[in-house]
Amino acid sequence: MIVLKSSDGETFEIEEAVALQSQTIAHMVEDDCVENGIPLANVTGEILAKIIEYCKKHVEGGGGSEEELKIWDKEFIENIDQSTLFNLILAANYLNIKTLLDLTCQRVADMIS
Amino acid sequence: MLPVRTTKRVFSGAGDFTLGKKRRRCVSPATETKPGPDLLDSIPDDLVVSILCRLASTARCPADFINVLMTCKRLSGLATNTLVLSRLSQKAIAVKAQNWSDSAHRFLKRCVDAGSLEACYTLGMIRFYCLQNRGNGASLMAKAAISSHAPALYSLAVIQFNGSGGSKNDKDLRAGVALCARAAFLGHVDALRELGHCLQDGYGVPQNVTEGRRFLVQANARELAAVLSSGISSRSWLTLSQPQITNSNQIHGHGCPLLSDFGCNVPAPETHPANRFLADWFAVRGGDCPGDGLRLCSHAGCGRPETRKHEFRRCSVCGVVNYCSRACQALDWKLRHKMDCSPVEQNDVGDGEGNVQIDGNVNGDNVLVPMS
Repeated sequence: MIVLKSSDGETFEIEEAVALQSQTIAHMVEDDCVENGIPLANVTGEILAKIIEYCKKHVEGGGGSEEELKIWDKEFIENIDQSTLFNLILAANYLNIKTLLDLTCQRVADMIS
Repeated sequence: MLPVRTTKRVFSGAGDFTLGKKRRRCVSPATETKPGPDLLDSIPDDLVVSILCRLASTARCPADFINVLMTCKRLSGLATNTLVLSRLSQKAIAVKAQNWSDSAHRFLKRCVDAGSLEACYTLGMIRFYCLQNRGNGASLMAKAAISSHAPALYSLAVIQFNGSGGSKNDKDLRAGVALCARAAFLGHVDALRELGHCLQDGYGVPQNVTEGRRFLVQANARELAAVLSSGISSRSWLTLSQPQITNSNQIHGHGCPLLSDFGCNVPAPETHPANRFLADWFAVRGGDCPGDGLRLCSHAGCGRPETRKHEFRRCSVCGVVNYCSRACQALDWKLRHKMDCSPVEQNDVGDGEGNVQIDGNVNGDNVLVPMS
């Protein structure tokens, strides 16, 4: 179990498989610096919660078929307001979660057009 | 980034393509508000570029993309990044012939320089057929074709088959077939049809009727698959059409009707913006501007003009319509000409270049022709 600490002091405990979707965290785990939890200074608690929700759904081979996952993604991304969306982009970039980044950027592109 | 058009007209270079056609607005249902002014500022440039890349590749009309260019200096600068321009989708480059202007031309040129294949193809077609700049147009299309752009390969094949831009002796059938084959292997429906007919007739390749038929069937199948996958809900048009029997009026004597008759009655495929441009261009300029007696391909979705007299071949039955390629003939027959075609007493077949007549089909009795 890995502990993540957001910038405003909230802690989240999640399974390693869920956390490893973030390349940044994966590298930290490899370099073995996770004993006291991982501080994420750029990410607030609210955003981190959303990210964890996304990652839990997308854990390898879980969550159902491709179609269901797509539907879930669509709902996920359509139910958030703009500032959360942009913060998610920045956080996904920082944490290096490619799929989330693609999802959010595509959403913004669709909003612009 | 709500566009503040009153103050933002003045940016270096980018101001050029705000003129002309780019003013056109798409009617996009504004169900969401655009991102607020400070939100995009918080995102670093490279992320904005990646957002704009996605926007470019999913834009449904040019205005979607051009709006960004007109929003603010930062976005305009980032949007003209080569990465973004090279990903512009086919629909985003869909210039309208009425709105053609120097700035549109320059914009396309910028996209070409950024490496966009669609822009290379579109600009190549425009330069070759409309602006009469044959060499340049062909080389642009070749640029796209080298990178395996199927429509570009097919267009070059048509040019080779007809010897467009040169004399009758510039026809290079084998090169045409080679190009057609490459386009066909990429799945281009018109190229598949063209190749099928070439094989059936031994035109530019050794004759091989079974292979030819195989390609024609594949073309029908792909066309149907494309239509189905685009999710048209009402299937009332989806009926199998019975082929009309041919009668003795066949010059080549290949007894089978155009295989498109055996397909399903699919609606017309969506035309490429470049073809629409050509069709509009010549319509706007009144009939065929290309010159005296030069005709247009009678297939409305094609729009190609002749580049010399009697370049295109005509329907052998009625002699009224003419086509740039067999694929256009097949498609037009299915969509429209079948209803209008009626045999005319052909006394005088010769017309200068001794054209090979493409066979049409004749309405006969409604007898089922067994598939051979």
